[in-house]
Amino acid sequence: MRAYILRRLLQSMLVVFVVTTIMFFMFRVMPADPTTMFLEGGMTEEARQVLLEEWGLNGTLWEQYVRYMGNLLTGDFGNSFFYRKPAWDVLWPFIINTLWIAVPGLLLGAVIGSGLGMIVGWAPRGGKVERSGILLATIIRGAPSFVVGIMLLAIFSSWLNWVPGYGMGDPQGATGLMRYLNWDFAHHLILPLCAVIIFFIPENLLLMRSGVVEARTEDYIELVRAKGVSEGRVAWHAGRNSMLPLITWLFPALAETIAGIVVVEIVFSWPGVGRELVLAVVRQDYPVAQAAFFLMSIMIVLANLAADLTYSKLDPRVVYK
Amino acid sequence: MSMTFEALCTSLESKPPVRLQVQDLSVTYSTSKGPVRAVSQINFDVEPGTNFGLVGESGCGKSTVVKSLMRLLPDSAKVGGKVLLDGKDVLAMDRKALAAVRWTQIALVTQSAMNSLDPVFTVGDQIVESIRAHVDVSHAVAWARAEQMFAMVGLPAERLREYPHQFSGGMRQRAVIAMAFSLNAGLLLADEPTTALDPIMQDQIMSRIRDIQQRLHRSMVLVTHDIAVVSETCETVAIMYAGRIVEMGPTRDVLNKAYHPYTMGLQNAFPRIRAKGESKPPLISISGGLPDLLHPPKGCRFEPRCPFSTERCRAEDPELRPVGTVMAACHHIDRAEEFRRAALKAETWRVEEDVQ
Repeated sequence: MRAYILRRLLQSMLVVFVVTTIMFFMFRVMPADPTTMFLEGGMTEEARQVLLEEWGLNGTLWEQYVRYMGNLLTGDFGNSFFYRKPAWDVLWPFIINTLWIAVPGLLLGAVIGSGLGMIVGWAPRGGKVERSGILLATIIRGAPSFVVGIMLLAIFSSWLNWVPGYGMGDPQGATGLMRYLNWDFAHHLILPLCAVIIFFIPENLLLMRSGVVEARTEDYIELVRAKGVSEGRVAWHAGRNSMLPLITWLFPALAETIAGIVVVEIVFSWPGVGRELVLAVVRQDYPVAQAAFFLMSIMIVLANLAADLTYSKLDPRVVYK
Repeated sequence: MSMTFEALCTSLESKPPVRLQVQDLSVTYSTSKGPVRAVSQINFDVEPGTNFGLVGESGCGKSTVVKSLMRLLPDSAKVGGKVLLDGKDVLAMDRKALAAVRWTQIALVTQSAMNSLDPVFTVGDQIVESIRAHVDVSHAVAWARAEQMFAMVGLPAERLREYPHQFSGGMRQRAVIAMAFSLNAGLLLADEPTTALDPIMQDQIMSRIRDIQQRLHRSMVLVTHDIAVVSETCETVAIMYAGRIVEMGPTRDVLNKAYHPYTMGLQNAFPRIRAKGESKPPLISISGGLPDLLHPPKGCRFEPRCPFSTERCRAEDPELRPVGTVMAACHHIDRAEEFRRAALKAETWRVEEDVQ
């Protein structure tokens, strides 16, 4: 098991290295020069060279690459062109903001989605519950991801005026954790959080349902029922067995959905890392964009590893060597 | 107050065996092509503490009968008639009463050893689940009972902590048997308990079941297609064909002096133990297959495959009638002696090519 984890970690590092390399060159071959965007006109050629050097944009592409990777190893992502401070310092608050909607959103989405999937899968085949459950999940899944957000905004913000429709409120001088532990923040949080949950429900629901539908005809389910346990307990046996395919899908999906949260952040003007990433690309702020992609690739790789390890916990038949 | 282990064992051991009376049991599956009557109006009684064999070829409805006794059939199956456990009708019970009867009064050993245990729970937890669903005992007490049951079927107690995939097929089937006896139910349903196993294991498992049955004095319905197993295990046997009982009675009488041609044919299809000097009888199969139950034949259901069929068999459906110590559903019970002799010859069962 330890050898397996070690091997997987080495493989993961290789993947991150490759992704980082590709990201580095992709930004460099894009047909634009950031210096023209960020440098005020009238700067002398000499001053421009100084700035280029400071940003690590001098020398050949190869030299830039070696320097960049070397800095990365020491945890230095370079300085943001736009904010004129270290990329990591720029990203960090945005990451926190994103985690506030992503983590509870994904967890609740998975729990609610798979719970509903179990109910829909256990309902009589071809009945009302099954048909409406599948229909609803398909509609949400099929709609473009911004539609749900815009509808939430239209109903709860514009029409009912229950919650604000923009940003994450004003911390009013509060610092540290107190920035987040106040009613105003929660008030702003609720709608984007709901959007993430809804965004995440359908796939959990459909996967869980098909697993349960498959499991309910298994011989062991018949025997569990014969034992005279409650119907809920029988359904739990089916659900527990259906979690295996769900987990394989869930963890990589978590990471991908971090990227999907971009849409939610943009619709609700939530200052998260996804929205900042899009802005950084538009601004040609390479260090920030690269750092964001670097973090994302690490998350995806770790999520895959977590999926495999959880799988062996859930299914005693899976043994890693 | 939850029970102690001793109190649990005492209360379970004092359970009497159950009397089962099946009256006019019918099962109809609704399919897209129309209703299929898998079981039609079956009647039989299992006296407390006796073993009852239900024999027939695959698809004759014997498993459907067993499942309907526990109400395990899917909703698409309509079940009619009565299933009386000590006089109480299982088919008329509400959900709660049914759950209370399952496993405490009537337990099941299922057909496929490989798939009847949930792969993601330990075997011990699955046995504990069956106990704690019905009796108020702690996990530790239920576990001790599971250990006791494992010892009874000859499995080491520490394997209770393992998962089904760590068991061989024979061990799994023994675990399922251990689970079936966990609450010492008054009636055991064994649905082809050895079909998935190799012959040596089959023999071991069957003698294990027989031993336990003898010791605990339970009632049992044993479903099988193996006549030899029935003759060793059951006092009474019913032969099923196409959803009906065609012959029923004391096992010895039915097997030694069959009245129904299907019973005769079924015996031919199994190897027999010969007396010294007796020549080896050939294995003879019954050609053809079960009738289409969407459109069952008007007359006797066995008529298309019966070597002795007559005009009357084609026109009229025979009733199950008493003859001697048994009951048989054949129009020509009076010619049984003659049939029995002819049935031993292979050429009797050879189909003549249909020339049209």
